[in-house]
Amino acid sequence: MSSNTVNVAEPAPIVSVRNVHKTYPGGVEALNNISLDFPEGKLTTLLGPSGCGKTTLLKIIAGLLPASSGDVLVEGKPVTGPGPERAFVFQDFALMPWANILRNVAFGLELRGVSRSERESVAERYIERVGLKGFEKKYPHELSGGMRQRVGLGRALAVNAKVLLMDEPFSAVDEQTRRRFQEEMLELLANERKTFIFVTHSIEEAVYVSDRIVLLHRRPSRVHSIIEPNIARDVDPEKIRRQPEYLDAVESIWQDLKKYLD
Amino acid sequence: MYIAGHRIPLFLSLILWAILWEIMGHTDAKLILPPLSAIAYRIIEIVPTKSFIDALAITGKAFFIGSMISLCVGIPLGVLMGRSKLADDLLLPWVNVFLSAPLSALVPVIMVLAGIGETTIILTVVLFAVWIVMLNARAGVKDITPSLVEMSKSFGASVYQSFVHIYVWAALPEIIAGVRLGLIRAVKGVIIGQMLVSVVGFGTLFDIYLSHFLMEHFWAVVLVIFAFAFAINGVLVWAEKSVRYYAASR
Repeated sequence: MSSNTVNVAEPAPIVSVRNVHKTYPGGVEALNNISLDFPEGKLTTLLGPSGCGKTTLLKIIAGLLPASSGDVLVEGKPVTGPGPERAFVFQDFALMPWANILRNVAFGLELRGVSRSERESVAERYIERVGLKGFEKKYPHELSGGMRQRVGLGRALAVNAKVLLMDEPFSAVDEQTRRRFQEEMLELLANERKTFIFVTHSIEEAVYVSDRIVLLHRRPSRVHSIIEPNIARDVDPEKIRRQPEYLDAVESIWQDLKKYLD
Repeated sequence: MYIAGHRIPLFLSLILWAILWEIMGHTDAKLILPPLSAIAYRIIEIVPTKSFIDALAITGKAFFIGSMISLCVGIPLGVLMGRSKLADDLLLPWVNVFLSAPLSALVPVIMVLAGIGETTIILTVVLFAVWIVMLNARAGVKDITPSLVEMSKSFGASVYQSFVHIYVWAALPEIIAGVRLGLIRAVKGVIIGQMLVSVVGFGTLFDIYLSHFLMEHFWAVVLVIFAFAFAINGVLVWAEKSVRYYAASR
């Protein structure tokens, strides 16, 4: 496994998962002895069939769920709960329907006690960044699913966390919007010096956006392999999907996951 | 309401019943049911009198204080019940019992404890109103999308911040419905309390009017109280509508 080899060129891990077990009350085992490093400034995807515990692992890293045993270290410090260096993007967007877009994006800063004028100017900047300029005073129910997830993304960016945790962020938007999002993810990755931990069940999506892919298997839930697709990203986004490296990576992951289908 | 394909405005049905009442009032039934016109005349006559204004002030005060206590106690307790299994297990049986119990029977007990006076009326109002407020706040909190709670947690919200920024707002449509039902019950409570104590506010007026068989006066006061309850309901229905834009998309 490439993750275990010492490599000088490898960036230092910003998030480390050490021997994490998770058993839900009632005896359902979600994670069995997971150890993983997430290098800084990279996009790492947790990929696997449903029920493999990928969202559980992400929520443990976020500090939203406690691990039954084992540790998560963020910048060397053990995680005991949510922290300002991590921000979460939710599958169902988790926007406050009673608040307008400006307030939704500024919510993380509002909780930190940042003054109104300051947090709103920050929020306006990120609303523009995610392509929603002009929608500041709209409410979530007036926006399409894709636009709502842009709000969720803007909110996570606005708190300027080093690590962005994304739980199947594009699974609730339609296919065209999804592709646009994936392209924008790559731009974001290139422009922001942030670490992304991304959960998806889509092999194509994982290969398209990831620097590295962690394949998780279920029963027992564990790390099966780590793949670094090594795809040239400095080309036209449409060309990426036609690269042999892209197609090979998709195919080999599919061969791996196939045997776990029910 | 439709008659032969034509839409009839709702207030027309009120007018229809008012006409029927007026006609009834001119038959032998007028002993207990005087004509509506006479009652309307009596309302204009009674409302400016000192005894009516005093009764209204006393009633309004007891209603207001009792309602405020019900909301200030009921909403946080309801939210707590929605959040904590322990609180729910402890309180829910009582809420259900008091919600369906004949509460008027308990007013004499309050009278023994709190004396014949304002405190008893206020406690009666609370006794009538608080349970439905609690039950609705509880239901609202129970239905909150879990990811909204996780969201506030992930951005570092304290328990207090989650309560103020997420729980109360997410449960607001149910809470307002609870407040509306609670205030209507509070009107019931304040009138029943006063009638049973019978030396306070409208209770005194009812007592005087009924013992002297002044049916016009009696009905005048009844109609004024009905109008109040109706107005409170109307205001809160409007408040419920104003949060409906997000009630469906939580």
